[in-house]
Amino acid sequence: MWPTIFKISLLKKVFSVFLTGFVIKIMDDYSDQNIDILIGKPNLSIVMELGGLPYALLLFLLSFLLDASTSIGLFLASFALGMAGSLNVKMPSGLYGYQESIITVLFGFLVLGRVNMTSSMLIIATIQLWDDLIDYKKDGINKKNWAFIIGKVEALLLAIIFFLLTLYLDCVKAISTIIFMHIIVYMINLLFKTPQKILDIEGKL
Amino acid sequence: MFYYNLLSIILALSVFLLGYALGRRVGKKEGISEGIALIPIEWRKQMLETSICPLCRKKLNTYVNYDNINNRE
Repeated sequence: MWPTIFKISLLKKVFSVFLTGFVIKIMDDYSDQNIDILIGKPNLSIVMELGGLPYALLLFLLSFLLDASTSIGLFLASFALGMAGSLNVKMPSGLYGYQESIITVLFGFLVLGRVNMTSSMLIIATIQLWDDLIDYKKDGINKKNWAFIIGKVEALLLAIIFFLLTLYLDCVKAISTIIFMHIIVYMINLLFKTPQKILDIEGKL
Repeated sequence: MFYYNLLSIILALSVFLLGYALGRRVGKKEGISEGIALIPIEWRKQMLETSICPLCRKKLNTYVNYDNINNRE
């Protein structure tokens, strides 16, 4: 009986990570759409247009039903770290970016506990650093790339350290997040490549 | 045992990162100051060897002798 329960809860957690990952990706693309149009980077909000918000809310609801603490933790961590990218910018709430970040992190620590919130923040930071390392050559205009700010090797080493720390705190979350990050990126790339392929075939025909 | 090993790896990587980051920043500053000290000598060497100014790419006047001391006679 116990192994079955354990496996079900594990699966719930893994799928919750997957769905929250999609929500975070939609949110990230929504806030970066102006820069992405300038660079010519594929962006989900261009494809989804006004449908992005309802889909994101629905996916977040599903992930919340599967595993509440994991989905809230990851979402709060991504929100806090995303706001930390624009520290001195005044947000629609009237607060500065760093104030929103601090409030979000404190709220996360109070609601979810130290281990869950810390592991969520570390894994989101890992993904951010890894993403910046991949985009190192593409990012010319965008100066928010951490590989530019702290250096390529430093960013890589920090990403590895953060990942290992997450592995120490929450093994399942660390592994599933890294795997699903690549799967989500692959799926989105497929979404952007498919119309081009169809057009190519139609052109040949 | 697994978690103990993981912590050891994290500690080792952190120490390496600290050393690397500090070394890189100190090395960058040293390199810039060395470059600033060396570049005038390097430019002068280039100009004497090629008779072309390395800044404006103009050729030096080698046809007319304006040397007043040696031209007195």
